[in-house]
Amino acid sequence: MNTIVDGLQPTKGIEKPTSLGEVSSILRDADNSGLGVIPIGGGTRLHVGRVPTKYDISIFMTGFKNVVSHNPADLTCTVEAGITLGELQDILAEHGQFLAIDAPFPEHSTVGGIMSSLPTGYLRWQLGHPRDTVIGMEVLLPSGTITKSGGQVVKNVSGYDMARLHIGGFGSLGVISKISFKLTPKPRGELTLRTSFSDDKSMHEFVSDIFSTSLMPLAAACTHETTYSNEMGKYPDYTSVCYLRIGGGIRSLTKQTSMIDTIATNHCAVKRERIDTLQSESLWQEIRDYSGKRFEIIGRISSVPSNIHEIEKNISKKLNDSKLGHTMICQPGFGTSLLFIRGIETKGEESGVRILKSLRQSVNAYKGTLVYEKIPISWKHSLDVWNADQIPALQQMRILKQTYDPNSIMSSGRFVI
Amino acid sequence: MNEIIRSLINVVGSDNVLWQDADLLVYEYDGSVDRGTPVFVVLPETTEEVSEIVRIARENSLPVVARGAGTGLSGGAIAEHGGVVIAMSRMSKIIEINDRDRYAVVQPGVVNLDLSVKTAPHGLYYAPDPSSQRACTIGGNIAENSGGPHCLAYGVTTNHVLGMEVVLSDGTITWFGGKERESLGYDMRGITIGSEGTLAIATTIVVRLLRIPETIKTMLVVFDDVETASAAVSGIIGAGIVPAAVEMMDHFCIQAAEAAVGAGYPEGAGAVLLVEVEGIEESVADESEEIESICREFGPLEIRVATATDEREKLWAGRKGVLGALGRLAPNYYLVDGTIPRTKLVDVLRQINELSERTGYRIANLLHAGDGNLHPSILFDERKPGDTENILAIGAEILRICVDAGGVLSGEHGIGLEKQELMTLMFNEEDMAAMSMLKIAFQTKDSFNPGKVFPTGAACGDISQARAIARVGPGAYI
Repeated sequence: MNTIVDGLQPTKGIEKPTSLGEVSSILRDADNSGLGVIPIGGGTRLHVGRVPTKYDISIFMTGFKNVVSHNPADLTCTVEAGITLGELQDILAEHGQFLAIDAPFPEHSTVGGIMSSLPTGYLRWQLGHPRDTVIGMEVLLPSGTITKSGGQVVKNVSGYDMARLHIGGFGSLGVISKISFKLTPKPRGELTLRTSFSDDKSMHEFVSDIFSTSLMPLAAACTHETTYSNEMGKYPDYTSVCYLRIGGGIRSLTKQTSMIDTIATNHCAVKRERIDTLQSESLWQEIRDYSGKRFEIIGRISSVPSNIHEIEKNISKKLNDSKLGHTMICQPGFGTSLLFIRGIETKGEESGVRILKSLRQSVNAYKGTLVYEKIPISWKHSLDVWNADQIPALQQMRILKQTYDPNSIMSSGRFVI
Repeated sequence: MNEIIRSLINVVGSDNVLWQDADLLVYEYDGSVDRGTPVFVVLPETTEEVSEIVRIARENSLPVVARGAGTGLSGGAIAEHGGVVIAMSRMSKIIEINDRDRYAVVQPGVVNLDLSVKTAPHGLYYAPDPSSQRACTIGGNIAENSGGPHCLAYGVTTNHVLGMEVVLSDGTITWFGGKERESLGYDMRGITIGSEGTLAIATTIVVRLLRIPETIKTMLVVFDDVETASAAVSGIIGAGIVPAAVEMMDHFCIQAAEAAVGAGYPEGAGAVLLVEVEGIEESVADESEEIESICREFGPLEIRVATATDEREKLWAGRKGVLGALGRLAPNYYLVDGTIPRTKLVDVLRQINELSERTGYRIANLLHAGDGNLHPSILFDERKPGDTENILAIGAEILRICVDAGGVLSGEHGIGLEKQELMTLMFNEEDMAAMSMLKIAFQTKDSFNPGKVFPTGAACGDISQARAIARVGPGAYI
């Protein structure tokens, strides 16, 4: 059970509550004493964020694993925050359903942790942002008060949509204790098409053409062949590869495959492969969990989709010039890309941070943002991991934080505000 | 007063500030039954002008109500406490349509349907489609987090807004979100959408656009009664099919629609389902065959299928004309909006039917059945003493039934003035206190659209007369 956040252990204790009353009481006491609290789910994303300014108590939410309700015919469920994504998906799969979130390490990641920290995933093209799966939420405020918002129905405009505050809020405004989700039926069938190109430009043009048709892939990812052959650093002899996961009945899959093949031919694809369901699952697992490999730096780029190619090109050039091995896995159409860098620590902090700042400038130049989700802890003091200077409403966010957490006990200092 | 008028004229010019009684009349109502007269109506053209108006209002302690087309059904655009109405009708430009990244940048006064019409040549459309889409505006949709028949598959407004430029209550201009699919920090965008204009005023909006589907197929399925039709809906969703839309009408609605538009429903029809599927041709074929097969298990009186646009429109004609047609059945009707879990349709409709029988008031049921969003319409005559009070009590009872069934107070019309006293059915004091802290966080000092969403403390009966003298006539929308 990992409680270390940026090298820090909680100074007062590790709490593993099993009732909401306990969580409430822990929070209330901490709030009264101004102690720093970090709620923890599976602990898979504790490296993300700034170094905590205070860290006295960790609250493990893994004792809350119940499925409160699952109504298959309603395509909704309500679960406690500590259930892992994997456990939940297994239950839903028995009914031919799934939660449209493919966060990394589902065997450890809890749904509460996932919604708090919003890791990237690849199911976003057709099925939307993970935040859109949430239809209701129960949250404990820093004062220990238990509050709820939303409901268990898929269409609801009753009162403020409070869950939005906590989704992606890194536990800085409270502790998520229950979540109601809307669910998605599993497609009748699915497969993945792996299309390879001799250069990134052709690949991105291919993808752009895909998105200008009525095709709606379930998931899409673009990367380099080196990603999967462990040949890091062999530039520029890589092949650009696009993975498209498609779903539907047999006729629909055949038609989609044919449309994609035609577009691939137009863009001179060098190789086209069809990966059927079983292999497809493990392939997407590999892509999803890629951040588990030993990288010193993991960055998350966000921009409008059409700028991603230029951004990646500029970043690659800078990293090649610095002779740093790297990989990028992009979600085309969604406008995000994960950047993985190896070997930068050997350059030392000053030089390393300078390179990272320069990469960020390349992204900001395209009005995008680059969040460093993982960097050496000591570097966090000389580099803002969040790219906060790109947030226009930062001041309003700070007031929001002060309003809901006046004693600044929740995930203190870690979040972007 | 004269000084305030001068200040406002300095910002937007004399043609765009209204304060004479006759001019204010048209701004004192919306699609609901409430009325409230503003002191000033101002029609800005730019974000900076909105900001200046908000500053002037704050300096003079006047509340501000932003107004789109005024089609809302819960009183969201009513100037309950007078003050300044900022009418967005001149902020109606589509600033950018980006084909490659599939988004549009629009001003809040752009009419919902106009956006889809203008983006159609790019092969794109804006998915949320409230039935008022010919009139309602994107800004108003944001305030109410509007839905529509096709939200079953594509989600409501909040799922389609990437970012927005907003004016805060002190006149500050800032952005929540942007053109990117992901943005940093708290989801200020998400918390503002659906807050009924109480937190911020959106002045520029970035919406994502979807590709127009290759094929659309509409199926009209006629059943003996709503119970069977409801069971068929559960059958479709339970089989793992999420069509683009699933709409239902009961026998009162069928009767009214038949009389008004001659929809050609068979005699004895007790319920009509409209099911629409869209996508690539082969997917549509697969899904529609499966839906037809499921519906046949429930013994339909008739199934009609159309793919050509004009034929599909014919099938939709009865549904789209039904609210106006209800006027044929009674002088007035009170349209209720609640959502329930889809599987509770049969049970809740039975309870509504029992309520109708017990009280003697006919209730016509119109449903976005696929997502469990009910619109029971209670037929009455406001000239008859006691009718208004009675139907309001019945409306509240219907919402109680919805909440007891695990549902909610509003699926798409919002809380506004109409349902604020019913919020306690769903939320306790702590829940609502946590919500109202947002007003503190946004430092609104309750100057933006005051008196909405949260209970005032009045009992339901006390507010009834003012709240819902339901007189939604022909051409009203849901």
